[in-house]
Amino acid sequence: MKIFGDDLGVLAKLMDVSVRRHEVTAGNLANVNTPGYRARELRFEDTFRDALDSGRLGDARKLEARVVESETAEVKADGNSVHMEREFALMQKNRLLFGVYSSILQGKLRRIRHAIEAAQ
Amino acid sequence: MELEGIFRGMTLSGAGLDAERRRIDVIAENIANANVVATPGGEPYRRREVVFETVLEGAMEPGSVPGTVRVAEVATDFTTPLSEVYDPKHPLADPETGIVRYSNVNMSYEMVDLLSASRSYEANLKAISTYREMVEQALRLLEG
Repeated sequence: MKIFGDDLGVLAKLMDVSVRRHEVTAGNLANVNTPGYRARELRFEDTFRDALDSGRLGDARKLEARVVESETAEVKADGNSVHMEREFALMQKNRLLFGVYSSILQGKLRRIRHAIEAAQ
Repeated sequence: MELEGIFRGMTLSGAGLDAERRRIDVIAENIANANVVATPGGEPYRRREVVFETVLEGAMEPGSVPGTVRVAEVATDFTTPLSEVYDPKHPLADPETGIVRYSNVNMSYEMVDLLSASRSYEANLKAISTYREMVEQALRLLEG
């Protein structure tokens, strides 16, 4: 029986990916002075879009995010390709997106609770 | 997500904080010893530098931990030449040439390094506070 629909699972997955992405960014920032370290990024949106297009969002939990080396970043003289400003921008963007997902989820949960309370 | 996973973002940035603090310690040591002519071994002080390395934990597999950082070694700088000052009256001057050998610490270099280390420290601190905000926001979902 599906009372809550798929979107709770999708939102939970998006929040989980957000936390993962934060970890990858934090790892990049921690390694900003490590010689030879290549900046990494999390790829999820393409898999997510595929699932969205093919209407398979029901199993959103099973979608996997991949950690890859970012190819766009310019490599510095010591072989390191972490750029602090870029990572900060990504981190802030990710932080805001997490806030969006969390607010939507909160709204949904509130409505579900209203519905339950109305039935009592 | 397993419970230890919740704090992984903090452990990561914590490792970054620790590494950068070690770097600041070594820079402070260099600056403090900038004018040391004789260390216990008899030689002038030689500047030291931390070398960072990434601790990889299957970083490229899906859903795995991104690499944290640690101090691989504190290396002594033997390539930068010691500075030589002509001062025949100095007790440790070479009796023949009158030259005193001072450490190879270069103040401007250390200051730039210190600035970079302290900015990197702040970056890790910022990452921790952002992560904290996210976790707190997620926890507020429990309140309804």
